[in-house]
Amino acid sequence: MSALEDQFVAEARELIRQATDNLIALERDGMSSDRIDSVFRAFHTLKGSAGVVELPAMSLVLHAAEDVLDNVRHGTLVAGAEMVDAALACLDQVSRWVDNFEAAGALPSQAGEDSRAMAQRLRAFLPRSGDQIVSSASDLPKEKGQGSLPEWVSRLIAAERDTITSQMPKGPMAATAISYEPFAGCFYNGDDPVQLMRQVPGLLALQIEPREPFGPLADIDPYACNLRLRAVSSGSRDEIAALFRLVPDQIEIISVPPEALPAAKMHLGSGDQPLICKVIEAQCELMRIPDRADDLAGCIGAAARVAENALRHGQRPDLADTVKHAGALALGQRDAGPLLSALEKALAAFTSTPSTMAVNGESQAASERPADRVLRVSEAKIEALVNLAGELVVARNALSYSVGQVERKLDSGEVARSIQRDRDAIDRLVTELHGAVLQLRMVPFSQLFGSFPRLVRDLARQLDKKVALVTSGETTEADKTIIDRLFEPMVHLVRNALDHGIEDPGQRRAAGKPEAAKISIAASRSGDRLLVEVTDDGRGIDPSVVRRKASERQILPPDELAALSDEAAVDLVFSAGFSTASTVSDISGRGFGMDVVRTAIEQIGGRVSLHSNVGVGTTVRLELPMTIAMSRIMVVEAGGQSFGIAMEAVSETVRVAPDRVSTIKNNAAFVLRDRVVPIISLAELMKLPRRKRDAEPRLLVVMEAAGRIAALEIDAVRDRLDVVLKPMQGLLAGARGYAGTTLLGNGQVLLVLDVKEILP
Amino acid sequence: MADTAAPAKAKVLVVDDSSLVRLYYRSALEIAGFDVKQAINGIEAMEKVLSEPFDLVIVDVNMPRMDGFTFLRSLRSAATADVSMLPALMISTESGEQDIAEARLAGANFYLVKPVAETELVRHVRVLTGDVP
Repeated sequence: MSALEDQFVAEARELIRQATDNLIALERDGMSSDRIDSVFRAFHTLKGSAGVVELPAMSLVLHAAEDVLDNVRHGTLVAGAEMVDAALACLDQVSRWVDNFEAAGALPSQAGEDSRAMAQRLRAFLPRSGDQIVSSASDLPKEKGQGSLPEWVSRLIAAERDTITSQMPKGPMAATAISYEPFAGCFYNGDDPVQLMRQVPGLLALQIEPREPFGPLADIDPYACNLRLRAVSSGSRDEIAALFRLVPDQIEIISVPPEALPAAKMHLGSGDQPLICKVIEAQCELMRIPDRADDLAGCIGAAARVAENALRHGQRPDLADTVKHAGALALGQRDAGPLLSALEKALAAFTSTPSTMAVNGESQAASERPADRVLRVSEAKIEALVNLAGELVVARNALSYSVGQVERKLDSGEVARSIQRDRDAIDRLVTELHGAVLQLRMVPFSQLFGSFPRLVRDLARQLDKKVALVTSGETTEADKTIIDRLFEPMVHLVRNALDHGIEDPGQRRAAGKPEAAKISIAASRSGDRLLVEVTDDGRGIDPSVVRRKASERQILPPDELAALSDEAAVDLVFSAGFSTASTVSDISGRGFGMDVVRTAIEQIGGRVSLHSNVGVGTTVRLELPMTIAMSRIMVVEAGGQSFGIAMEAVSETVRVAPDRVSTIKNNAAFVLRDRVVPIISLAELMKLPRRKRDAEPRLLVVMEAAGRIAALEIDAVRDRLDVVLKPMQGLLAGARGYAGTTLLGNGQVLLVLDVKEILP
Repeated sequence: MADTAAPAKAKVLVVDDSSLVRLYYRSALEIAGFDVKQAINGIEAMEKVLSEPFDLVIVDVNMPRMDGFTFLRSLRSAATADVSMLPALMISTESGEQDIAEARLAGANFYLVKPVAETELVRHVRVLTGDVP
């Protein structure tokens, strides 16, 4: 994909999100002109961008939606639930298309039909079925036909004479003059007057001036638009009226007959055309000065050089060469004459011959958008940086080790101290760099929370419940990996709250609660941990119901169940296969319970806890680390069990034929590139049954750490994984030989070996 | 957006006694990719152009020790061809016909009246140095 298309995809997603949020807010909080303007603006921009990357199907639906929203904006249409549904459906459609476009560079083949159907659905909301252009034609801008031109038009044409003639095609042509006086408050409507003017087709000249003279700086209101924008265009009046159809009351369009325009010069080159001519004319003037003395050669040479440069800049190397030769000739004769006549000829040739350059150099430059202050960087690039910084940390550790060795060998303190100093400096820099790079991945929780209003709205409608969602702590930041991994568990928790926690409006009334329930999602920081809480004011979890279910599902034997405190009983909802809803509903998914949430959270090094009061509500609390320290491990199998080995210790895996293995002092060993490598059987080490198949080649993992080497014999290599390593806890906290444990996706605990302890 | 494909940009000498003006020109031109050197008066400028090659000199009129006109006259009369034929852009606060004529007489290739907007400066320097768009 081109950079433009990338930009489109990123921007489209952002706009879809913005429109979705505001549509939902609009429905929830009622009509507000800010909201509807923002929705309208998002659709409007999206439509424009779709046009830029040439996706007509997308433009078509968005155009229909825009027309509907425009009616809402002007109060001729009310944004009811159906209309919001339709607008959201439209956004869903567009969002799918954006995905298609990103994946395949095009829209699916049925996009055209889908687009027409969707446009029809949207247009059905319009007050008069029919199209906007027709209905707005009556109140279209004041247009004036032929006849005497208003004074401002003549003045504009006279002032912009050079620009107009340099942009005009050959031959007589009619033009259109536009005067656009945006309302002072236009920025609040989402209008971008300058951008709108730039979209004028065949823009020949543009003048922007203050409507009222600007007062002292302190009195200027930067939010009030005080501009008058005037332009001359070769576009037709209809095209221009269509472009300005949303600001008909702020625009004046005048048709300019051909005779009112300055006589067109011949087709000209780049936007610097007039300047180039002026520069060459100045060199002619320079050459016309008589009686030069010892500055003659300098002046001829400089003039020739400048004229040559200007012509090269104007993409006329042929004329530039002629001038260069004439300059040399003039220097030789010590006479400005030959250069002067060459300059005059070049000037004439330059202004009359069409050049290869396109006319719209200037307008192209004008349409370049100013750079964003925020840099959009692809995740892959950041990831690469994070990985490099991580490797740098490892390399730094290795360096520390080497420095230690050097220190031991070198008794003379001088060298050792200097190496130490350098090592310390590198230490500090690497640590800082690592921290800074990790900061790049920090994103605010608003990214995670953004999709919940939509989810809650749709679910609540589906379940016929009334729910208000409150989010807080959107600005709290966390590592992107955490935020990404939190999404699914959070969806799960919110669904659970809506489906199981919150009662029907009737039940709520009976319980003396307000009909509309409240779900709140809050993120906060507590020291170096993140806290995320999902709270509902629903029926709460009844320990007696949990006990009954647990015994039905045989999660614990009855006597143990009876011995549990109420709190511990409620915690049973986290057990695998537990579900408090008597029927599995469509909302909370099938077979997934809180155990899935717990696994997902523990996989990123977090903890889940739950507090519930019957009749009052439930809070699920997630405690998470700020960042995830990932370790790369290799999963191997020995004696029928799986183990993890940190990848950084593994130097290679080899298969060795049994005849290459020899026994040295009761220990097996083999020779690898002139080094004797002892073989340790992992199964034996773990006191597991060892497979006896001596005729087969042995599978060995060669490990190197702290200058020692050994090969671990295993049965099979399974996976390579990035995992969060948890230190050994509880009874096993003191166990030697293990670096820690990690939770696999299937809920299995994997022991990760500490290679340093294993090496002989 | 750096034009990586383009050949090395031209080298420009900015001569002005005001450090603010020099900084203003220099930053505008450097952002546009030009190699910029500076001098604070005509004498220093003369030393610079004699010691290294330039593609354009931008010179102010009113400067202590040696003004712009004197500098231009000595530049154009220099013995070395590369120095005497150096393109010169004069930028001054004076906008009278008389001043422009005098600049021309001294050998200025082009004349601009202060204040010059950054974009205009860059546009003129591009044309004068033959920077291909």
